[in-house]
Amino acid sequence: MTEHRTPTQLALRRFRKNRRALMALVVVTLIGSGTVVIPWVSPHPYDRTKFDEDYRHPTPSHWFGTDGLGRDLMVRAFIGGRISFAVGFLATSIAVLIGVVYGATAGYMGGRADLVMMRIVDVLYGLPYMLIVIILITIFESRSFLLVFMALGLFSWLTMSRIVRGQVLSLKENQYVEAARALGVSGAMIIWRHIIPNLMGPVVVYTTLTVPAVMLSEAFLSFLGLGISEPMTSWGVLISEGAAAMSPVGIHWWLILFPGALFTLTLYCLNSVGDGIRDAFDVQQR
Amino acid sequence: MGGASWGRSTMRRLSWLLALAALAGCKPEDPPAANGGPAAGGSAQENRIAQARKLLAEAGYADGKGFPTIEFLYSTSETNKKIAAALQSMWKTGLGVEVALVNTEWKTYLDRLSKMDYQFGLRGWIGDYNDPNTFLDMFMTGSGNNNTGFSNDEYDELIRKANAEPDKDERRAMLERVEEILMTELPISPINFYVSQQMRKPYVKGWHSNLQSIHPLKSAYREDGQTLVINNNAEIQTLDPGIARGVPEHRVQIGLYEGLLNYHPETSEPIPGAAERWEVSPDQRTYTFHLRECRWSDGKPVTARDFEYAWRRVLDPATPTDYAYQLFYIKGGRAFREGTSIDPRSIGLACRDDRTLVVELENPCAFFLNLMPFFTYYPVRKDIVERHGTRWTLPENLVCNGAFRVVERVTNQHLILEKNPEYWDAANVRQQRIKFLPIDTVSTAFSKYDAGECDIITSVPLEFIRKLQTQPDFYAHNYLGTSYFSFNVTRPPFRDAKVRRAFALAVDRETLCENILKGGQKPAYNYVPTSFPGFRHTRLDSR
Amino acid sequence: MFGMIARRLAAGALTVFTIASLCFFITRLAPGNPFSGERQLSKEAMESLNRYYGFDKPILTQYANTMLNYLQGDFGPSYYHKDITVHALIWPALKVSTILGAIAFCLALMIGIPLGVLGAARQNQLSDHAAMTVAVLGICVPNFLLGPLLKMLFAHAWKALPVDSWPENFTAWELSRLLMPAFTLALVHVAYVSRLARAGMLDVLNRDYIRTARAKGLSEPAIVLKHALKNAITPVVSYAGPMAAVIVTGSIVVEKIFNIPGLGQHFVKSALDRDHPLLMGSILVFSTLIILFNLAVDLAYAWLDPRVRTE
Repeated sequence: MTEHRTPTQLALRRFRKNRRALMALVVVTLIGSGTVVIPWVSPHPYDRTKFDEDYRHPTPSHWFGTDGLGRDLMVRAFIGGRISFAVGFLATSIAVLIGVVYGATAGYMGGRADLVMMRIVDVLYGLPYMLIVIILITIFESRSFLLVFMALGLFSWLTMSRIVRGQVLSLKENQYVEAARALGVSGAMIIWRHIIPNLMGPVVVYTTLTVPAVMLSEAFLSFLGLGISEPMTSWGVLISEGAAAMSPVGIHWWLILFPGALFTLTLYCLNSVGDGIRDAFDVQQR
Repeated sequence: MGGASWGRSTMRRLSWLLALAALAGCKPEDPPAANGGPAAGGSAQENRIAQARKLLAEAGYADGKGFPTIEFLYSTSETNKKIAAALQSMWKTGLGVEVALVNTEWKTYLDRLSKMDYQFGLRGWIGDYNDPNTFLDMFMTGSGNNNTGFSNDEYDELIRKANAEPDKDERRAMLERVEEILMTELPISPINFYVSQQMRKPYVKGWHSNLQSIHPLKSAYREDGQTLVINNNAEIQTLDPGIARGVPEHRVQIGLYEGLLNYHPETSEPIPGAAERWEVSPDQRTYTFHLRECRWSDGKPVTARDFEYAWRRVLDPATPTDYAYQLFYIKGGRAFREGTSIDPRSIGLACRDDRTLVVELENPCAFFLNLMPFFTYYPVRKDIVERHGTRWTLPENLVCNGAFRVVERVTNQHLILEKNPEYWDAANVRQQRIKFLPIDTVSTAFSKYDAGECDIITSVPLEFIRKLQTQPDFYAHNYLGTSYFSFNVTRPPFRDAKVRRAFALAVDRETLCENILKGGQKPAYNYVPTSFPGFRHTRLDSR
Repeated sequence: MFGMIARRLAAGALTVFTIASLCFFITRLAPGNPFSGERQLSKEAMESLNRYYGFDKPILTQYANTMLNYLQGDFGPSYYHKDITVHALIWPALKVSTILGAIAFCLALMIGIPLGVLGAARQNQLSDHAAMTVAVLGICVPNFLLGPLLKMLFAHAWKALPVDSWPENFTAWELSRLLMPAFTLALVHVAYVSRLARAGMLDVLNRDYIRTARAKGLSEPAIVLKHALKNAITPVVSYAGPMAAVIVTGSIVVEKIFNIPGLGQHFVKSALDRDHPLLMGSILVFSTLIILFNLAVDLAYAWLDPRVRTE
């Protein structure tokens, strides 16, 4: 007799067999723990300035070198990761929450309501996203960086809602839903017990792909000068500082290489994990 | 099975830890009270810090305990970031006070300043003309540039009297007293005086660094006769001298137009321009300018009416300019602009004939001749404006009375000037073509300069300044301006003058200039730059 | 067919109008005004500026006037570049962005498709893994990191290419200014194109008619290039539409890094300067481009796949 396994358990099993995705998960967890641990254990505080030690290349006392104010780059690179991860996960959580609820409602309700809701999504899609975020940030930035998270999240939910809606539309026609309706189960209950659990696949996949996209957006905004305030930093801020620190008379290569490598590696691993999750669920859905 | 579930739950716990830490770590940590670098100010600075701590204790915040959270506002830029970070660390080590830094983009920063929605913030001021008044009148009650809430009747009264005072020594004494009040009340704290940093190729001649960093284009040239390429740091907003207001516009317009007076290329002092001589009445209220014979680029003669028209145009309330205040020294100017008077004849401007302009002033003005080369006072041709309307400054319509005229203007790419053959002094203009580039990124501009594609740049990458300073094509010169931070004196904690002085004294200006700015800037212990001969300055640490 | 196009264009026009209206109000929410500067505006200056630009009228009147002007194609003068109209600012910038975008578009296809085809032809061998790793890097190295890195290597360290800016004339040195920005723009799309091409090619290579061709004795390259390629690039074509839109509109960072006078610069700068007319103009151009590109993609799809046309 075969053991009964839920789709999730099956997927997890497949995921574990995927070596590349597993390695990526380990690496990104290492980097993530690094953002927590390294600022704790490092002898250099991330915001201690030493004006006579500026722009030093990597040495045994400063593994990644120092920045323009003599601050240790390694500890700043890792503490910058905190902001990037935090923005990534927070904004994505908001996007998932809004997207799932909105898409599920539109898909389930169908008809006129669905049409209107999706038209709204189309209009919002046409808005120049970056521009609105820039405007929102200039309105809110001096108040709280948290609102920046929300602004980024507010734009990522659109695709999520479309995907969810598509899924719901097809799930709605399933027989067990029809049966539940025939039995008199309320709409909300149907959504909660039958539809949402079956959305998990695409939602999880899209979530793992949104996180790096949001991190990219945050870094891009920091690059434009709209990022987090001093002395805190983020990978985007560090990369933009590094990009300015090169000229024909000298190149402070460490300033862009280390934050850039960390950022790229994190994005790569998150994408690999996302791919792995998608592959794991994909087989099951065929 | 067991091993797998252990791995799973560990992963789960780890990810929770990660999330919590990420959220928790978003607040700035307490930096230890370590040094921020050697105190280059030496024992004098140590005394100042001791005095600062004493003042802070007297105000009730001994060792910074109990001090409310405060935010230091500055507008986003690499240099500002460094200065703010340095100040933050100085206040931490010197006073034990934690200051949070807030940076916003430019417009939001200006908005917050004008609404007084800040506690203290980084600012800077560049003099419009070479006289202490341009630095002091901004802190009069209700002045749009004040933004501190500072209001002192004696201060306002003295400035008004000084501007009407014909005697030079009397006037200087009044202004000295004004600065004394400013440095006693300390609504602002000066940090350092500006230095203009430029790089120019050795084959560029006739371009001199000076106090106001004004460079008349008519005397500049390349030895080999090729196009002189200058980076302007920004795309110009307009070529209309009545509306223009920025340094990039000034750099270009100084070549296109000529005022009654010009700036001397080396000293930037006023010298004859379109006017070859002038008389000042004994009561110093009437100036009579006699124009030389000169022409516009379309051959028509330059007349006094061109100047009168231009100045009346600026004073007309319908003209969307923010530099009208520069013409308020003219009698009836302010009244007409503000709408108090609607009779244009109340403005003290008259043309005795085609080449004689008579200007009546509201009060004697000691620096009126210094204002004459300023771009708001450039002449404008009435017939051109009326014929072309808002398109009159486009290259195909514009006429110039300066050494150059515009031949090509491609926004965000380049602006090309060519020698104006109708210019009265064209024989002495050696350069044929000038090209302006609008590159606003410092590193990009420098790369162009280094590649030989640009001959003059007026800002250099701070990251490499130490190396660049040793090069022979690097030029640094004192610049008429002061970097400072201002307090919002209407709210605590900076309502207390002791607290303001403590913060001002705790700044190690020598270290800032030597190790952060590294451009040869001089520390500023008073607000008015120390370039005015005979002016006795009051230092903020003189008590 | 024409009915569908007409309907889509009408819907698109409505969408653009909605976007313009939304942006009109949003842009006025941000603190700060277009005319603030280091020297604060005095009351008389403020009043004069407000009168001249119509800010003293109620907001709905301003909105109505602005929309009426837009319908007539009049975007007015820029608030920042006071003597140049928005149209005169956007048009040359659009040309620049389009040229750069077109080069990047071609690069993405010229590098991505062969890479994907190679990967599929040599599936799971070393060259496949190598090709796919290169592709993935394109997704993970953001353009604001890649650009400066390329500059660092090619322009500053090796001095092989000019640093940046737009070509002044048609000499080889000047034209080589386009290489780094175009490549930076294209790389992320190389990644997607190669993955799509590979997937499409793999799908086709397993079909019956290919097996028949092999059985008939045709050489592998002939099979791949002559028979399979056409059908394999269908997924690439469907991606080409959004890719074109993103390339043209997503070049803000590349323009900043490489000092290109394109549309992206106007976009960001006008938002930061509160230059409302230029901002609205940029927004409208972008939205229109996106809608047109999406329509073009749908049309191309219909042309490629007859089954779609019956919808």
